[in-house]
Amino acid sequence: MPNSYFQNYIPVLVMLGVVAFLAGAMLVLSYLLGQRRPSREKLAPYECGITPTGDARQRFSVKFYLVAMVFILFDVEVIFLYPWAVIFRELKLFGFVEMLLFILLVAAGFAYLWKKGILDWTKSDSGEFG
Amino acid sequence: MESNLQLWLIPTVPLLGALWNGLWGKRSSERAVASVAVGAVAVSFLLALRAFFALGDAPYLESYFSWIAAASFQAHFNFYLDPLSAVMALIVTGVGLLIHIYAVGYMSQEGGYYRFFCYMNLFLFFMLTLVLAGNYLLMFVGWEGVGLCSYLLIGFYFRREDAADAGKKAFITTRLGDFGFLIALLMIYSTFESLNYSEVLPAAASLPVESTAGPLTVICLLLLVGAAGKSAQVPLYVWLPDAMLGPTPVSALIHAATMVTAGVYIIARSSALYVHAPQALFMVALVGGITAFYAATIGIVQTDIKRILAYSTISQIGYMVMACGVAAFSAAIFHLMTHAFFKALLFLGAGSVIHALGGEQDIRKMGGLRHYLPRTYWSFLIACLAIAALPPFSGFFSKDPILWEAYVSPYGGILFWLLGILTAGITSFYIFRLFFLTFHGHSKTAVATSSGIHVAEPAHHGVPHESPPIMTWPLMILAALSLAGGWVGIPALWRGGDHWNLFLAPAFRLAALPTEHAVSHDAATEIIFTLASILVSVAGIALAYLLYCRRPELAAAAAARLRGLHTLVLNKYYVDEIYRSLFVQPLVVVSRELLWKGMDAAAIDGSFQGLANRTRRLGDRVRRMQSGNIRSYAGWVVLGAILLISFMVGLAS
Amino acid sequence: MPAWNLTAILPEAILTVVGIVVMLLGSFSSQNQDRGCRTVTLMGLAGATVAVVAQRQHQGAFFDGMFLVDPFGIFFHLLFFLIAALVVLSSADYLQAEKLTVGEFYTLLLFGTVGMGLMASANDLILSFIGLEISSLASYVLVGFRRGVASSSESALKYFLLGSFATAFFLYGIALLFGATGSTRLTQIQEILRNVSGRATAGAAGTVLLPTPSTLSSLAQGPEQFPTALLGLAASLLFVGLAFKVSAAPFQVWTPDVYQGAPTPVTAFLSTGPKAAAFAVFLRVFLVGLEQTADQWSALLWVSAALSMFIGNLAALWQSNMKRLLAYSSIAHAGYMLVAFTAHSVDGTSAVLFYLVAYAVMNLGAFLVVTHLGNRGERYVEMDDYAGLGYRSPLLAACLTIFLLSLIGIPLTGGFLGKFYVFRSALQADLIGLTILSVVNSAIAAYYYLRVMVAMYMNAPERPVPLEPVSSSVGVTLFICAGGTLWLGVFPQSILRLAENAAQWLLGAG
Repeated sequence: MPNSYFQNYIPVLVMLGVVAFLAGAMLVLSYLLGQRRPSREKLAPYECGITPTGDARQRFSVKFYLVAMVFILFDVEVIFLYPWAVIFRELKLFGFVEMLLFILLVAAGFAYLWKKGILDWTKSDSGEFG
Repeated sequence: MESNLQLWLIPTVPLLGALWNGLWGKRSSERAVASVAVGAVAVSFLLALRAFFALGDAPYLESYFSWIAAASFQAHFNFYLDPLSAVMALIVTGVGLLIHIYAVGYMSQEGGYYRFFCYMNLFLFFMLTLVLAGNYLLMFVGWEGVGLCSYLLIGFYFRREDAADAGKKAFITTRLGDFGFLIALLMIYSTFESLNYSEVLPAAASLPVESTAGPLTVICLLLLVGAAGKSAQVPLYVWLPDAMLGPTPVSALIHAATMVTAGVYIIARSSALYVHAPQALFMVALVGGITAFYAATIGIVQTDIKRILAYSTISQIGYMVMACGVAAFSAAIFHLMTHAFFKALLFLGAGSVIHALGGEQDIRKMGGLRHYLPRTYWSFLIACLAIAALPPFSGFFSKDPILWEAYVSPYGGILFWLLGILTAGITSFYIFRLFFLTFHGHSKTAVATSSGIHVAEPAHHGVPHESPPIMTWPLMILAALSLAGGWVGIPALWRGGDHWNLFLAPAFRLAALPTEHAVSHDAATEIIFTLASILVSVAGIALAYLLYCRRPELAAAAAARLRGLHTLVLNKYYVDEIYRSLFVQPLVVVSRELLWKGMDAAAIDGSFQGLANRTRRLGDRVRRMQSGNIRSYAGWVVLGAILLISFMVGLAS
Repeated sequence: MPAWNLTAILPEAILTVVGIVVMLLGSFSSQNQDRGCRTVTLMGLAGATVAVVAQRQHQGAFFDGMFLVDPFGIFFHLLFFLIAALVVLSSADYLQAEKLTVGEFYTLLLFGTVGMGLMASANDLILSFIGLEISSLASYVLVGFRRGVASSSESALKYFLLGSFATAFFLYGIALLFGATGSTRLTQIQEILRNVSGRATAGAAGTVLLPTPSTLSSLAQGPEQFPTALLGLAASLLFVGLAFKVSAAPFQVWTPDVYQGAPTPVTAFLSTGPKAAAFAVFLRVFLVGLEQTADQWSALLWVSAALSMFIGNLAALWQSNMKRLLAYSSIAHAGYMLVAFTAHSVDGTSAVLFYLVAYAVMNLGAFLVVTHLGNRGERYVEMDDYAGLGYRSPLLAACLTIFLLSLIGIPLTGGFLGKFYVFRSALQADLIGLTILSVVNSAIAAYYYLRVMVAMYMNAPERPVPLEPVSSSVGVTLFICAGGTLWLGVFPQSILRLAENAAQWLLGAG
């Protein structure tokens, strides 16, 4: 019966409602009750107590993105290793070979990146991936 | 079946000539190019002659290899020789040979000599494939190929914008017809499970006559659409007059003698289908009759020598189609042959005149050329008498059976006879108008040249001069054929042997009228009809003589009196304009205004390129590139998806 | 998982390994690695082809029925490898002239081909989707391969954003189809829907038959009623995603921009390879999975086919840029193929397959001439630059003429027979209106192809266009394409038989 199936989710729905109400109430109450005396200092963006210098929207070197992307790739690889390790014994040789292939594939990619100089932070921006 | 005739050589030799000239012609001398091209056609002609004499009673079939052998569809490369295709092959190679020889002289003043002969030989290859093909699909190969060559040759004078446009117009108009043919072909296959003549025609002959429109009628009507496109019949005739912008030998070969008669050939070839679909046959006769009459009326007032001949061609082909429509197939092919002779002669003669006058084509500016161009004059006169159908010229013997059949055939009637005889009168009038204005009267060109009004063209040497022998010899041979070509078909009535009909009879055996009404007419009736048609022809000539030789002022007066009608006909009944606003203009508007300016140009403008041209501000540029255009594209996708989904869901509920 | 299952994906495996090798070769070896990379790539493709041919002996369903080795898949695999090899051969000069990194280009091409192969063989919508994404990601990068050129990057960005948008539709369609039937396996979906509709008709007849356990034992229990609305929704969403990939109207908007901006060899690849792969999925999904709802979606195909032809052909009339012109022509040709698709028959399907081969050969050839003439930086891609080509380089012009004639559909070329089969199948399926529309369209289309020919043979050049000598690899590719176009027109049997076989299998097996 679909009805009973959806009934299982009613607590979640209740939870959602409570959360929404609570957050909304906090915002509305502080808006209604709080005092506002804005000044230049107060309106400035908060940067750990230091006086802000320049625009917050800066151009980042593309290297940050590259490194971030490479990190995610290898991160995902590691995530694959966990479940594999759990059932490693059951998979026997087949599992071992499979994982070996997988690691080899990623390693080939890694070698490629290395050769292309992605990991070389000091390389000038005009390089292959600049 | 043994293949000892090697029919495939007949089209292949011109193809080799075309390849040779296409690859090495640029570096060869004009002489070498000409001898390769003419030689190839000559060999082809001899081979066709051999095939002609080897002709037996039964159709002769040569099959080379299987082209398409899918489970559900089969077609072969095979050639089919019967009296019909043999005669066609002879006409194509014979007239083609004469025109090639003529062109050796005619084209020597123009550029692109090798290119011209390459295309001409290529044309012959496709034309011979068309007539010799043993099945409809292979015929379609030739059919499309000749269209392509015609396009290339119309646009031969490539520096002229109008010539290129005319080429495109011809290609696209005939292509509309071609698809009629293509669909007919598919329907033939689904009806008969074959495309070979040797299977389709007997199968069709064994079917009952369709009293109401059935598959045969549909096939025949579609074939008629194809024929109307290629043979310039109403309503798809508009391309042929424009096609006259090509070189004159091309007009003679392609747009008069051979390619444009392909429509007649296909109807005659499918005669077994047509006689079983009387409604389609009636439409054929109607289209032919109307075209014959209609084009002839336009011919009366035109002033460009080649355009008059173009309308005359349309009109004469209308005659042939009408003959097919009254099931007088052998008469149609007879007229096709004699027409090939005299119309090629007319065009080549016109070419000679144009050549002599340095490119002048307006007959009002001609006159008195009789003395300058004696050989052209006499051959032209024979051609005019032939087309005017006076005995004993060939046109008489081929046109008379058509008129007679139009009246007596169970598919004909007095209406078609009337259309035919009126057209005959008009034909002899306009052709002699052309003749008298060109060759008689005062010489207007010489005056114009001496007074310097006329812009002198390169080949213009003041006094008109006769063409070189290489151009006049083909004229004389064609003149002999125009005179004597009809004698092979002198009917029994005139104490002839009726050889033509007997010879072609095997080709049309399957088209024997299933319900022979056999309305017998005595010889006296036939003689009266013949006398009437001669009388009409003579009247036409006499009128032309009166108006353009004796009393030229009368012609002008008549034109002034009938100003409205005259303007209407002069502008070809405004059909071009009507077509443009009905069919071309809407397409252009949708294409240019909506799709191009609206979507495409806007897209280019909104994209990087367009913006780069307008604003040079870097930051702005990149930002807009990312936001503006893609968003609108995504919008299109969403819009399409919403329409689609609502359509589907609407359908479901 | 038994090891012999791996033979099923052997071609893909070979290409993946070779792709990685080429990638490493390109980055590790010193300067002159072009030739080496090209050789390895071609050898890899040859190896994969051999593997596919060998697979004909080991047909069947693998990986729990997710992956099919059948005539249909084999046909497409061979087509993809041919396309990839021709693109590899034809791009050599281009990459050198544009100073692009050869190894990565070939690697991406190979990975794209792997994705296409998966698409052609997938019997599971999830696998189709993964294949689609693999091939799409490779194409996104390839489109933006001329990184220094703004228009190329712009194209890549557009293609990426719109492409991911469209695949999202596809994914949503998969989800709904799963919701409606409880399966993502196409053959299972087919069976479930057959059972359900069988039950529905039986129910309409008055007796409510419950499915016996034997008929539905191995299958997921189908829904009680025929989920028409849900299936319609799913079909239209799947349609959006796939129509986008084959650039059929009304989802064709991206095509001209992307084709124009992409490097020309990539455009050649896009217009043939991924398009064919998307057609493979299209055919499998609609003719197998959604077979039961044919009367719903055939209307969709009808409209889309007609729109594609008209938009493609009419918009092409005024183009002056060759790449844009061929882009619109590509939309129109997708329309012709959809016409045959709409016929929903063995003949129609084999017509689509044959058309894809003919189109691949002629279009790759046409783009190759455009690439060659474009010269460094693709400077000469306007139609005016083709003026007088017939005299300056008769052979090149002759090749382009063959391709254009084939695109028009003149007999003795592959394009003619392709159109011929399309019209035939449409006529046999009684799609008379659609046949007439496509006939009218192919008459209109002649006009803009003729414009190119007019320019080549009948116009005088307006500005000096330098003409590079034709290198051997370009020459070989041109020869293969031109020869192939004519070969398909004169001796079409072998390909036709393969196509017919594949089509029969696809429609008969389910």
